[in-house]
Amino acid sequence: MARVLLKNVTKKFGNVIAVNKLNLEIKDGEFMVLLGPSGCGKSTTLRMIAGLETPTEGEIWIGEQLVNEIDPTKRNTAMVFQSYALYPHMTVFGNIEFPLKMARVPKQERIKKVKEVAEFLGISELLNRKPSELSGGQQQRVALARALVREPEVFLLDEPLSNLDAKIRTQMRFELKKLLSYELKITTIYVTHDQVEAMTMADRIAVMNRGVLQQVGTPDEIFYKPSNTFVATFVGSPPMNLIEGEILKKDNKVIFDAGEFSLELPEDVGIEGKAVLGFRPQHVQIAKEEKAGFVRGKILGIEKLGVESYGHVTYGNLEIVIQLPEEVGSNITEVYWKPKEDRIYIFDSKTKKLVYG
Amino acid sequence: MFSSFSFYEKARNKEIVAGLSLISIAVILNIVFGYFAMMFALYLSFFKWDYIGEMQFVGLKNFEIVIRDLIRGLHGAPYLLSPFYTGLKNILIYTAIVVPVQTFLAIVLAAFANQKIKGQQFFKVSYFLPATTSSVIVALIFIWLFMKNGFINFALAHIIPGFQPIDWINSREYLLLAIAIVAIWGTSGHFMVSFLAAMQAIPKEIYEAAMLDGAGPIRRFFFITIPMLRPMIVYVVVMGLIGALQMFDLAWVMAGANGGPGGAGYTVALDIYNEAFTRIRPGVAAAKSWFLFAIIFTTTYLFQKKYGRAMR
Amino acid sequence: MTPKEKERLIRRIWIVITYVVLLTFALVYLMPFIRSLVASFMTWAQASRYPPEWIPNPFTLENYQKLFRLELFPRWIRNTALYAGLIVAGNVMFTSMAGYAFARLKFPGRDVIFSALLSLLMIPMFVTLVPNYIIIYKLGLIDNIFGLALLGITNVSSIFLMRQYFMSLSNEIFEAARLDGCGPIKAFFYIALPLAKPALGAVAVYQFLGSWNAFIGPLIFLRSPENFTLPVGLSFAFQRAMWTEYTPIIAGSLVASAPTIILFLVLNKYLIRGIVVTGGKG
Ligand SMILES: Nc1ncnc2c1ncn2[C@@H]1O[C@H](COP(=O)(O)OP(=O)(O)OP(=O)(O)O)[C@@H](O)[C@H]1O
Ligand SMILES: [Mg+2]
Repeated sequence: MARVLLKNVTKKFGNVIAVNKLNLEIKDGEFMVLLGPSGCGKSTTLRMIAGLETPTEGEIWIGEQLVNEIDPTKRNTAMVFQSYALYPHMTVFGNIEFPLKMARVPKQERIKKVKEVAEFLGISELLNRKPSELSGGQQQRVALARALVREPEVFLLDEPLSNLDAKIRTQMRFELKKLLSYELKITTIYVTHDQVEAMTMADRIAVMNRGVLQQVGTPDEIFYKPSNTFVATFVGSPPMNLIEGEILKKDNKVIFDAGEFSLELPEDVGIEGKAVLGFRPQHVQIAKEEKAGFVRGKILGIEKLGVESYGHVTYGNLEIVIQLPEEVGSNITEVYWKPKEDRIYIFDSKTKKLVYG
Repeated sequence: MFSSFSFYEKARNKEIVAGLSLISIAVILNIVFGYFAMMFALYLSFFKWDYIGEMQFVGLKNFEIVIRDLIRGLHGAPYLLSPFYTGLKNILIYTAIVVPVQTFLAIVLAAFANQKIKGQQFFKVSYFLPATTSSVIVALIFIWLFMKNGFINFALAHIIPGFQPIDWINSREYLLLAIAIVAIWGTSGHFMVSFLAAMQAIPKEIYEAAMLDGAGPIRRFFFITIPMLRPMIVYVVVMGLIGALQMFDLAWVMAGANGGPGGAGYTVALDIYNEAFTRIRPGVAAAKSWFLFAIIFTTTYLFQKKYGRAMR
Repeated sequence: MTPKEKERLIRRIWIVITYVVLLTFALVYLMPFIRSLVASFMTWAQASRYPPEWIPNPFTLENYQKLFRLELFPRWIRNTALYAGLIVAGNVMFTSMAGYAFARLKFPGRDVIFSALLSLLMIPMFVTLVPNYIIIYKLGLIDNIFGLALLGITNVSSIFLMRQYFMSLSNEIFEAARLDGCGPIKAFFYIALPLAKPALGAVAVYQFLGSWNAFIGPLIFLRSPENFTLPVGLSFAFQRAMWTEYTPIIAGSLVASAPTIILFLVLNKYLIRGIVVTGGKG
């Protein structure tokens, strides 16, 4: 078992900076999820750890070893690809055996190991089939087996579930987590752009944007203490509402003045002047009639997602999203709303960093 | 920090070595038989030589021989005095017959086959069959069919009233036409299959939209099929030009190395062969081959310039 | 007649016209083969009769026997098979290697070298014919099937086809192989080559057709009749009037074209698709 440490890792493709001065430590046995929008450099990071790409700058440590100069096959890592990358011309047995064969493991030992892994993953009956004769979920397991058979210390997975349909995905999500974290207790780095996967599987999440690490933390920290507006809006669905305004101090009270409405903050937030207010759609008080301190908004449309329904509501020239109580019908045209004071966030208007919340 | 032998460098070097070794044989052979040969051909065209003795530099003399041949031919010299001119004239006539006819025939047949009909694969196979057979074999069979009491005269006599049997192979007037007919027979079916594939790749929605706009089958053919096929047409014409201008096999068998009666079946390719291997003037052969290259290059270039680049 | 009936009638007539045209041309394309097949079992006296006859009478194998009585003929078959075998084997081996390297490996000059090879496709063979004759002559390989084969074992079109195929394979497979411990050469043998069976098959079939039917090359580089291939040999037999009758030539033509025709008939679905995709044999 081993930890992985990235020190100031940068990767440039010509002029494109895919990863920018990344510092990240993945602890021994930890399940780390790299989360971010498409093109933010998640795969590149993973591929540098695997040894498929050279970092332009910086150091990569696996265990107590600097691996920058070490061949991918000697890094004790194993990777599972998005498309699984099974060898279509080999049987399942051949696929799982292949890394051992390349490492010149004796035949008897190879057979033994392949059988063990297959047994462990419940694919013993599939060993003589070709990958094309397997379902998506089975292929996934074969890919895992091929990675596991090398007994790696670090497991790397690049969007391994995105080729599966929604139902199996939920099931595999749980199985993967169980296998890697509870049974094998192996250090895992898992790339995804799906926040639900990240929230449900991760011990810690590293959120990236445009090659820059935004925040590292447990799912709770990421959700409840987003370090900036990017993380705040990227994690959580629908995204957090952001409203620009000003923080004023009057008669010992701290007030956020948004123009259309003002809100008394429960305590001093440390800054004055321009700021950004953030609140999640779920954290809003609703009234059907006019009420002091509430803001009137015209409803542009309602999205019903089973029990929950979200209203798109005008706010000046902007649009915000709020969760509507279950009992509201679909024919209302107006609501009165107000963020819950104890569930708000304040961000610096320039740096977009969290200052309160 | 990074030693000069880091694994990335090793891996990169390994890849370079592997890459260069894997391509080496293919590249060496193609350089020798392609580029070196081409330069050698250029070199040769300035020399007089008989393969054995000393090479003798003659400047542009070899090209002059070709030009004089052309001029003589233009002034009506007989074929033996202007072989290159004769070959060129024949090959241009031949190309002017073969390329348009085979392209047109291929499109029309493809259009007929591109309908909901049974036995499409049968038609494709039978049309394609000539293309899988050696042109020499085809020519040998056709010599027999073209005999005076042969099958083609018989068939024509039944189709055209009052048709008199022709001695195709031994006739000055008809030999080139006979060769052209064999060429068309040999290649049009193959191009038809190409056109058919291109037609079947045209999205059905376009036809449906045109149908709703009230275009009948004829207008759909001219306003949708033909324009959509244009890259394929250009490709077929260019391939046809390249093939026809270098025609050798059919003439060799049907007319003989000397082009048959009065040189009626003589071609530029035959002339290059004769210069190199019967008249033993490799320099002149090289000069003539550059002329042929220029002719092929210009015609295909001009055609593509006018009608767009060839696309498969 | 209602308009609907009229429309149906027009459609019917149109379908009839279509079949008449297509069948007529099918007959045009097939007739020479059918005529030859029939005539190869006739005496020359009967095959040259006017109007043509269709039933061999007497039925005779004499034409085929005459062919094989000529000692050269079996040699020509052997030579053609040897030549085609060399060309197919050479292309399968060398162009898959080159195609893989051009598609999958990084090395300096890769793209320049590849475009240089592709440009060779524009050069008519007559330009390089005489110099290549001299090169092969200097190598002492004139009148030698191996010398002739040397010119064709690394066909540029085959390299192009193989490269396109290897480029179409997924990157992830090769990366997975890299992580599993395959260097560039191992990846070629363990991954690329087994996955390239369809492309290798295509190269093999096209090269077989091309070399079996080849004429100019064998004509120039082979000098003595016992080294000829079938097309050269048969045209030689015809021009030397080896037989007073024409029917042995017809029988020989059928024997010579049988392998390619049978191959085509067996593989017609793949071949027609493939040849359309790669743009033909010439
Ligand atoms: N081989 C390459 N050459 C040039 N640019 C590249 C290369 N690989 C990645 N990039 C660029 O680097 C950036 C990061 O790519 P990366 O694949 O790491 O994104 P990602 O976060 O995995 O996105 P996705 O979710 O779409 O997979 C992108 O802008 C991409 O275009
Ligand atoms: Mg990615």
